[in-house]
Amino acid sequence: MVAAPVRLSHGVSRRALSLIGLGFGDCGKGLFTDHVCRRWARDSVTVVRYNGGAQAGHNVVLPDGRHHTFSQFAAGSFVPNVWTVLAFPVIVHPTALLVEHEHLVRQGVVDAFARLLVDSRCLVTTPFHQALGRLRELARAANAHGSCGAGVGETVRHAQHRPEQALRYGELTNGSRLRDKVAVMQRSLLEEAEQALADAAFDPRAAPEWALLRDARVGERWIEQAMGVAARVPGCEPGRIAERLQGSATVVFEGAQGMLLDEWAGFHPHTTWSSVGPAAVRAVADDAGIGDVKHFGVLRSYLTRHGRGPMPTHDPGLDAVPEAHNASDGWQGEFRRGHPDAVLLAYARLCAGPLDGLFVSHLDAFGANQPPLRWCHGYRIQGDGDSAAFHGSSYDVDRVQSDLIVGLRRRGDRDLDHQTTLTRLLSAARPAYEREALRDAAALIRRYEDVAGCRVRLGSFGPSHEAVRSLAGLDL
Amino acid sequence: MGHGNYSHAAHQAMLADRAALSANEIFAQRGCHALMDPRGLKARESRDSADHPNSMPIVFALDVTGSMGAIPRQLATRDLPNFMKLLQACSIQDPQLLFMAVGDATSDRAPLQVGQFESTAELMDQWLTWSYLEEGGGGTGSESYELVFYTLAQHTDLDSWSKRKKRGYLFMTGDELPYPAVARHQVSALLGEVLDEDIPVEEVIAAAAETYHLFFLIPDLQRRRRCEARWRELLGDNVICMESPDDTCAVAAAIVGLTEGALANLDAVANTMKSQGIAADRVSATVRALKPYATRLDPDAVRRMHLVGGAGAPARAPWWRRLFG
Repeated sequence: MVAAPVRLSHGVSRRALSLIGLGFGDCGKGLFTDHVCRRWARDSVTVVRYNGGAQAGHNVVLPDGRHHTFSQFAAGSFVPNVWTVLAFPVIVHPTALLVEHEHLVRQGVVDAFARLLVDSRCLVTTPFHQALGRLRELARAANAHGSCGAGVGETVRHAQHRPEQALRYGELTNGSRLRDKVAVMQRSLLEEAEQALADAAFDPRAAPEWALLRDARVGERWIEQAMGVAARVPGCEPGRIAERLQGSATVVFEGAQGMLLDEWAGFHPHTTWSSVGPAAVRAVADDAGIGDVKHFGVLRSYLTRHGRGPMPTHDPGLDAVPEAHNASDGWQGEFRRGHPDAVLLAYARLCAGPLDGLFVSHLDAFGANQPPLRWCHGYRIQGDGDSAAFHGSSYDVDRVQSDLIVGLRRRGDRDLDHQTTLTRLLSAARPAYEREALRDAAALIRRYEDVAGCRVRLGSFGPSHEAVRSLAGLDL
Repeated sequence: MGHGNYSHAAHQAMLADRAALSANEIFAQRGCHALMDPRGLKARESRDSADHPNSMPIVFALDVTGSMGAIPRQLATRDLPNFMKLLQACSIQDPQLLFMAVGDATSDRAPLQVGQFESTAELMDQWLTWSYLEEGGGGTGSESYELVFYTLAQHTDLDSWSKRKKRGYLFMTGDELPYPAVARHQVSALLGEVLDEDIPVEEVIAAAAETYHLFFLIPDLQRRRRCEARWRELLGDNVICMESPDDTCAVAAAIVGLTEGALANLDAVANTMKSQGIAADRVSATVRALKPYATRLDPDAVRRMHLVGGAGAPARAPWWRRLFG
């Protein structure tokens, strides 16, 4: 790789920053990405998606009322001349790119494809991955993981399992080879479905997915669309992406999901097949020869969770908080809110490593007619049986008092047994709250800063970039 | 975490193409599928298994002549999952579906097609969509429905019958008359077996009725005139005159529920249908279509309806009495 020039040719030093969710997602990455892109829009800005795939959903609202949920295009795409890079190892969903592009055109963004670079090494999701992923989630029934149904996990899993079959974005231009690979892919995924899921319970939602896996005509239909996308946005070599990033005055690494959904740090099995934290940013930055990157954690003034998985401070009373774009529909299921949780924030910060600051959204959630937010500073374990299971295991919890858990520990980088234990612990945890509800945004910010060990740099007090205020300053 | 809406829409476009496709694309067969060709047919078996200990054989014999193509298409695009859901709601344990296609043996290339009994939705769907919708027929006012009765009587083997003396179900859709007899030359040409003589349709019906409850579903009231009288002579109250081909699945599921005693009466039918999200107008049409059959199952029903003032009479006075009484 070419060594990174310290200064750009026109004498502006490059700034690189990452936005990493510290919760379970839906924390405001879209809003803040839009904001930082606008802040430095005079020079060239490139937003890099470095993890996840089409299951991301980053909402951006403009002051004029336009709205788009960014999924594969960067959340800065409303800003003219901001480029998107889908870096390896992002999972690309070509047909969803087409759909999203159509939506963007309707919002007045007509050139998004012309501002997109896709690394040709990126894995590609086919309808067969998506169908098998959905069948797996349906077969789990009550034990569903909270999948988005976008096929991301299945694409990663299959590529690990059968590396020779993995389909990469760069291969979408070679029609005859693509046809062969897609046919093999369909056969292989159908076989797997038949072996693993043959006796899955009858669910009306499963029938069309089975039909798709068996339908000989789907492959051809998909290939036609996918090749259309690749004709407009040919996959590019890593060198071309490095060139783009090194030539940009501002490089924004826009994280998908959140630290608490990370494949290794999250609460197994309710996780995503993707690495979320600064290490994942670092890998992509190194690949492109980008030096220093400042990492910022993004979170809301309260906790949210979309889909299955434990969330100790969940409080249905908070549902009165308005939520424009995260309805409880589709594949993921319920959208839940919970009080701000010091234990989970400390844990997310522990998994992420040192941060250069926090961006906090929804700071306007403190108002006379809003439900009060309470600060959770620890957990108690519900029931004697459960507590017996955890009190003995000194590795997974920190306790200051005999019965109050104030922190979760990690054990190694890749220990899913331990992560499963944490999931059980969280499912049994009863939050311990401060006596008084949080009075205002300042009280919350103070506590966030204490726990995360860094300043809250930006805060948002409304839905659009205009409502973002610089708090401790963004010194880049 | 996000939403996956665009990927959902993209995926839906791949799936939903099914609904958008024409019948020709869903039913891609351009001739009888080799596995549905009845030539040399020994027996189609409906067997109990560890997973399905109480197999309940249900045969759909679909008229695939020109005027009747709507029903196979609806089943393939929409109704088959609904049918299974309805059966579940009627607590029918282990339904096994066999799809047959029937046309006119005097003129069609594939007037008799026979699938296999299947318990899983995707295999049912496979046989259904392997059916060749020849869209022939016409001219004579008759189709070869009698061949279906013959095939069931001669060539199916049901555990439900041999082990539990429970009969299976045949739902045949159609809008014309059967031929008066099973023709031996047709049996020889289609199934490759030798009969001594033609068999009158009444006889094959009697033979099939030993192991199946036989129902003939007429798709709408216009087409009733053409064929109802003759079918009533043959099958009596088991001729069901629907108001729309859309109701085929609901009617069939309700008949199984009523006959098996899982649904006590038409009220129970209506409640179950409603709870499964079927539109109110379709529920009433289904109930109306089933009235004659349900009445025969429960002969007291009519008397109960006319028992004014007796036990169970409505407590509230009729409206005219409240106005004028």
